[in-house]
Amino acid sequence: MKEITIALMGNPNVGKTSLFNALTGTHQYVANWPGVTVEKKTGVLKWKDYNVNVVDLPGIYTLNAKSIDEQIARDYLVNEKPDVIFNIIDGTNLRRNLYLTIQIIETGVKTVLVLNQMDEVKNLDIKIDTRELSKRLGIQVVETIATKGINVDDLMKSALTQDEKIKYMIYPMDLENEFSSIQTFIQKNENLRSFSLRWLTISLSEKDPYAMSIIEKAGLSLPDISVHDASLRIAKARYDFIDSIVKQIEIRPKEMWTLTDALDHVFTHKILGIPIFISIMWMIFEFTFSISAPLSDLLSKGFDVLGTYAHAIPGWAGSFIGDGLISGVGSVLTFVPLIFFLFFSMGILEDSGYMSRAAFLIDRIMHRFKLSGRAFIPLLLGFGCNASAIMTTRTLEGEKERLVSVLINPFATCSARLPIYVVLSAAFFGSFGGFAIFSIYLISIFVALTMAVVFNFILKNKENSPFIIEMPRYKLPTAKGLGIYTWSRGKHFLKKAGGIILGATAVVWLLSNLPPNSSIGNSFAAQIGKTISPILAPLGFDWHVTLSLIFGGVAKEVTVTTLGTFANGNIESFLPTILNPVTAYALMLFALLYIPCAATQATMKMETGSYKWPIFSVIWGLSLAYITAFVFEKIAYLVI
Amino acid sequence: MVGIISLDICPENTRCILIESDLSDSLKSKLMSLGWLPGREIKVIRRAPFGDPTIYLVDSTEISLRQDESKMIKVEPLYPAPLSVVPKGTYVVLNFTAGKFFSDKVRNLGIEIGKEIQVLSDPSNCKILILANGKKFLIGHGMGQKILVKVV
Repeated sequence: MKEITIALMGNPNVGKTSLFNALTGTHQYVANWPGVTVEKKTGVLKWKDYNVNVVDLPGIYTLNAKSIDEQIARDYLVNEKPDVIFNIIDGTNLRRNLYLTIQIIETGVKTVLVLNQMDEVKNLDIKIDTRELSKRLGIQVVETIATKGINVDDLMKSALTQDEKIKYMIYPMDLENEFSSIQTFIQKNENLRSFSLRWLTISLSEKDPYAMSIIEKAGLSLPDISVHDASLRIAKARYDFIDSIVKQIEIRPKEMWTLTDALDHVFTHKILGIPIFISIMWMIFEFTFSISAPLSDLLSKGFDVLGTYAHAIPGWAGSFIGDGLISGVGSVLTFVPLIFFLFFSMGILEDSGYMSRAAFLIDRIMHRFKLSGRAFIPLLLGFGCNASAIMTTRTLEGEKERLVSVLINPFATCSARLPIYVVLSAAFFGSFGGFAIFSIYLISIFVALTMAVVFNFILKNKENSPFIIEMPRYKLPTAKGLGIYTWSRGKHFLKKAGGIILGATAVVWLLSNLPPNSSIGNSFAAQIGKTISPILAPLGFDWHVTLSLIFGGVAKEVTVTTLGTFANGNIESFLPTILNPVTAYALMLFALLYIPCAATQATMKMETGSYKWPIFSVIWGLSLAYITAFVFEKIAYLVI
Repeated sequence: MVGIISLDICPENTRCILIESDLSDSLKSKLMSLGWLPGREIKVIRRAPFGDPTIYLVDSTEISLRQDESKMIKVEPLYPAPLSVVPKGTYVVLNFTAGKFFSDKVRNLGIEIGKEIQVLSDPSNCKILILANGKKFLIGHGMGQKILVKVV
């Protein structure tokens, strides 16, 4: 077996993921690049006696910009040096795509140009002379329609063919002179041997900050660059070169009114756009949360039944297996239909191209809160379930926005918190119950958006990403693409978050059932509740409430079930003995704001790649909940 | 050629030539990689329902940019240009991008296809001072966006 590594690079929306799927099938793993919230997809392809590691790099337009996605792709290319790059380009848009191609070729890594979306090319009646393109660029070119399957042999043969080194003249003489003086300057340094000389030279003349940091580390100071406006002139020269190629190899009919133009006319229409947007969002929400609900219920009922069977095992062990383990596994698995449905609909939004339009439509409103249009969907989904909604933040572009979206999501009141509001409202507010619950939802929206501004301020050392998004062509999502998208993320959730949720359930079970043969009133959990309750005493919460809130940390609806166990079945008459209308509303506020549930914390860890953020979120949420409830009570008692 | 104005005041359907931008280097290089180079033609495709952001077309790629960034980009509109972006001078009315109701309305003001009119104010986001049929009057910015003119 021979090991080789192939990295996929290309602009966003060119079919990179389809090619990745076609190469690796279901043998792929979703993870994060170390320390950042950017998704890393790797997979394995077995071909003849080769073991091919395929790495899907983030979609980028250029190697020298500063966004985290671009940094990852460039660092990988420059430092890890894959054996081969498959540069996937959109055959209908050669000019723009070849710009990145030129930059990749300049790094000196063996590159194969994958001319994708050839079906679209045919539809648009565009003719491309692939052989001539290959000759002009000096690299192998393969035509594909990745959504309909690929010829692996062709691709792998091209990957293993040695290219003839051709030197093409892209840059004008004065730039080339500049390059050669920089080149002789950096050539002398031993530490720079591992970098591609041509890439480093050109990047230095562009005053690329990353290239500058490399030579600084090597102990050199930047040579004087005499050419004025070098980066602009380099870009221009690249485009001139591309233009000369495209003119020679492509025949393209006059621009026509395409299906995309027609659809855009409706979907981004001044008046129709917003109503259509609202109905699509509503459909997504309903589809994800309502249709998956019976499945989740069925699963949780099934696990309840399993749990009661486990009680047949006598004593403590039976209870541990039944209530601790089986219900723990159950609470993980009830998320599964939700996650799968959610990613299925996200997949449709992404692959169809509507996601960019949705972001375009709502951006103005989100921008007031320092977010972009893309942050709307994760926030909306948060009202269904925070844990799964946080997983959708990986569709956001900027690192900072991703982090802010993750952190504000728990303030969107998920459906699991609704039972708490319903029970408390029914017990204390009578006919005003509906209004009380509605006010909590309004507060939830207000807090989430306010916190977006606050977190943006706190994270101000992270760079803002400007809102430049491409409007891709509308496409029909393929069943295979959706299937792999949904499956790989569902699997990822189970693997990464499942353990944490299971662990949390087991710990809570142990706390509430130890020491052995204790009732809930004198378990370790109750002791913890009683110990902590002085802290919550100023809010008028006794140890019953404290304990339910602690258990609610596993899953929010457990808050109510715990109160139910104290009440011996009559919760409406029990609650007034421990709360009054003011403290009851304060408890609703507290339950809205305090900690994200265990599953949400687990996904936070998974998405941000560190324990720092879930811990921050817990501390922040607790303080905010405490202060809000306290201030509310003080004002309420003054008024009443 | 019209005068140099910033991209954010170009209404839908304007075609213009990119002159330069005052954006940060990283933004500039991202736009450059999308084909936004000085000398290239930009077409204003569509403004979002709330007036921001806007979709632009360069090189068969449509991208969406906020007004904040568009403001930093200097362009030179091509004729036929909307009346709202042209500098002081004399122009011929070429077309309207709105329906019959609109053309009837402006005919009453003395603005008709083929007629010469004079613009007496500089392009901005405010009303436009017009001289037509020997009468001086102001028309709204929105109206000016719908009247396409060519320099005489």
